[in-house]
Amino acid sequence: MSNNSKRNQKLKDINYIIKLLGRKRYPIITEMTSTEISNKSNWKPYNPPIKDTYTSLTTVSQDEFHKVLSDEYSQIENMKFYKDIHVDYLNVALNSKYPSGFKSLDANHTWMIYWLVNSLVLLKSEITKDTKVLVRDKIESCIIDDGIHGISGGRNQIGHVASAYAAILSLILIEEYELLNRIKDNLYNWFMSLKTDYGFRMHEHGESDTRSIYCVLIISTLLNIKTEELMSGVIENLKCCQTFEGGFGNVENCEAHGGYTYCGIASFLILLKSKNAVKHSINFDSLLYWSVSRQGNYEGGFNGRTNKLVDSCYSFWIGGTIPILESIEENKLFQNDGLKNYILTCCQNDINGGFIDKPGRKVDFYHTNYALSGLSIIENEYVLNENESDDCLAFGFDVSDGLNELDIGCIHPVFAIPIEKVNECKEFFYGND
Amino acid sequence: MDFDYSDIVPVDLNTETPQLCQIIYSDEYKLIMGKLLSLMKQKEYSLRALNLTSLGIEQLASHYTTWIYRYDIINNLPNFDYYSELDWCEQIALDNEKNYQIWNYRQLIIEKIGFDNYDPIREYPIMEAMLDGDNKNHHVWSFRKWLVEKFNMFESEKEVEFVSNMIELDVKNNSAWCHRFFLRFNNEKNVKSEIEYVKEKIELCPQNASTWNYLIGIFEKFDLEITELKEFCFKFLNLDDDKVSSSFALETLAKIYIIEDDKESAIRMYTLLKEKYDPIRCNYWNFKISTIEN
Repeated sequence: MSNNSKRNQKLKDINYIIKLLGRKRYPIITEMTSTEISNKSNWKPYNPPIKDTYTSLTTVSQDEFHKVLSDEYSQIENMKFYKDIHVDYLNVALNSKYPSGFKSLDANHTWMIYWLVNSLVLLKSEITKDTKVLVRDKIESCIIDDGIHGISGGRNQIGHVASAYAAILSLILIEEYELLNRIKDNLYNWFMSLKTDYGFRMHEHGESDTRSIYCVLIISTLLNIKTEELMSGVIENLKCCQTFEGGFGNVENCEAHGGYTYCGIASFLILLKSKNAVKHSINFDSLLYWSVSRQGNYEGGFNGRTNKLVDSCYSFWIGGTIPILESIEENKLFQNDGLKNYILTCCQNDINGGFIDKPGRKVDFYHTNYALSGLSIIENEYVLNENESDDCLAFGFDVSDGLNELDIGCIHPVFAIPIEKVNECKEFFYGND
Repeated sequence: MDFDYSDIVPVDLNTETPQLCQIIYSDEYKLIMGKLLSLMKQKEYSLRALNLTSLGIEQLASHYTTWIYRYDIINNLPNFDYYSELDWCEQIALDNEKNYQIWNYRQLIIEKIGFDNYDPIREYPIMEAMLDGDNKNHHVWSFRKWLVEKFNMFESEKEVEFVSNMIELDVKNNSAWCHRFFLRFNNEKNVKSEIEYVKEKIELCPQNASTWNYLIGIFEKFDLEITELKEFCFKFLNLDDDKVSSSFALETLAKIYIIEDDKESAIRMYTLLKEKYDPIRCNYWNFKISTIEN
C-alpha cells in the first residue's frame, strides 16, 4: 500500500469509528433530510409545584439531569426525525469492521445483528439479498450442532438462551424459515435440558429468571414447539416475580425493573389466551400503576425503576407494555407525546445517526434499536383480538391506522419484531394446523 | 506460576470475510481467547486452563462462556481452594461494576462450599464496597437477597442495621426499600414498627415514591384498611391554601375516599393530580375518574 492509500484507509477507518461511536451535537446548521413533525406537540416539560427540600445522591443526580434536559428542550422548537441519517448509521454499523475496543460486544454477536437489522426493517429500509446471506452466515456461526447445544453469542462459544432469542428473531427478520425448521426440534430438546421445576437456566450452570423464561417462550411460540411439559410450573413462578410495587423483578422478592416487567407481562400474553385471564392472573391494577409511574413529568421519557433516571431503552421495555396494558384495560393510559419528545429531542444523534440512553452519552446499537422500537409503539395504533384459533393472546395483536407521521414500521409489542414478520412466521409454522 | 501454552492451536475468532459486525481483535485478545476456546473444546480441566480463564476474564468479564468453562475446571480440579476463588472474584467484581456473570458464579461457589459450612458475614465487605460505588446496583441487591434467603438471615440485626443505614444515607434508594420489604415481612411481627418507621421517613421527604410504595405495600400485603391513613395524608396537604407537599398523599386520599364512597372528593383528588401535581399521568388519572363515575 502506498503512503497515500494508507492514509486514505486510515481516514476511512477514523470516519467509521466516529460514526459508530457518535459524538456530541455540533451547533452547525446543515440541510439534512428530516421529517418535521407537523402537529404541534401538546406536551412540555413540567415541574409540579411541590417543594422538595430533602437532599441525597438520588436528588442531586436528578437535579443535574433536569438541568441537562432543560438545555436540550430549550434548544429545539419542533421535533424532527432524521430517518435517512439513521439508515446510514445502521448500514455502516452492519457492514463495518469494528476496532478492537468493540471486544466488549464479543459475546453479543447475535444481539448486534438483531438490533441493527430490526432497526433497519422498522425504518422500512430494504435488506438486500446479499445482506440476508451474510445475516444467515453470521447466525449460523453461532448455532451449535444444528441447535443440539443451542445457539451462542459468538462462534465457538457456549449456548445461551438470550443469544438464541436474538438469533431466532434475526432469522425471522430475513425470512430464513428453512434453517429455522431444521433446528427447531433440537432447540426444543436444548430448552428441556435447561428446564428447572419453574423456569429455564440461561445456560449451563446459569441463572433462571423472568428474562430467560420470556426468551424461551418467544422462541418456542414463534417456531411452534411449545408443549405442556415445557411450560409446566412457569406461570406460577412468573406470578411470584411481581413485587409489592406492582412491576416484576428478575426472581421472587427482587426489585421491580422495566426489563423484567416487560418479560413478565409479555410472557403472560404467550401463556394465556384471553385478556380476562391475564387480568386475573396477576395484580393488574398495581402493575398498571407501577408502569405509568415510570414516566417523568419533566423528562417525558421512562425510567426503569422507582427513583432512577430516565433512559431511552425503556421506551420499549415500558413502551412495549403500552399497547398490552391499554388493550386489556380498553383505555388510554400513557402520555405518548412526552415519550416522543424525549426520544426525538434528547436522544437522537442528528449528525451521525443513532440514539443514546440520555444526553451526554454515546450512541450504541442497543439504545438505537429500543428507542426506535419505542417510537414505533407510539406512532402506531394497535388492536388486540382474542382469536379462538390462536395459540396465544399475543398473536391477536394487529395494527390499525395510526397517525404515524414518522412513517415507521409497526413493532409487535410481545415479539419485538415488526408485526408483518410475526405474521409471516406464524403462517409458515402454523399454516397447516 | 508460569504455564506453557505453546502446544495449543488457537481457534479462529470470527475471521471469515465478508462478515457483518466483524470485530478486529487485538493480537492479545485473539491469542488468549483463541487458546481458551481451543482448550475448552478439548475439555481440558487443568491449572493452566484455569489461569487462561483468569486472563480471559481480565480481557472481558462479560464473556459468559469463560465463566462456564472456569466453573467446569474448578469442579474437576482436586483439592481446589474455593475461598481463594471467592477472593479472586472480589477483585473482578470491583473492576466490573455492571457485570452480572460474577454474582451467579459467586453463588455457585458458595453452594459448592456448602451452606452449612459458610459464614455469610464473609460477604459483607464486598457487597458494601460494591454498593458504595453504586447504591442501586441491581445485581448486588439480588445477590444480597439470595444470601438472606439461603442463610435464613431474617432475624439478623446486622442485616437490618445495614439496610437502615442505606436508607439513612439516601431515603430515595428504592433498592434498599425493596430489600427491607423482603427482610422485614418474612412474618407479621414487624408490621406495626415498620409502619411507624416508614411514616417517619415520609415526613422527612414527602415526595418520595419509594416510601409511599412501601407503606401502601404493607397495607396490601397484610390486608389492612388504608382508611387508617387518612389523618396521616392530611399532614402533606392543605387544600384550602392549595398547598401540597406530596402527590402520593393526594393519591392515597383518593383511594380512601373511594372506600368511603365519597366519590366527589375522590374525583377532586384525581383532578388535582391531573391538572397540577402530576399531569404526565393525565390519561391514567382520567381513567381513574371514569371508573368512579361508572
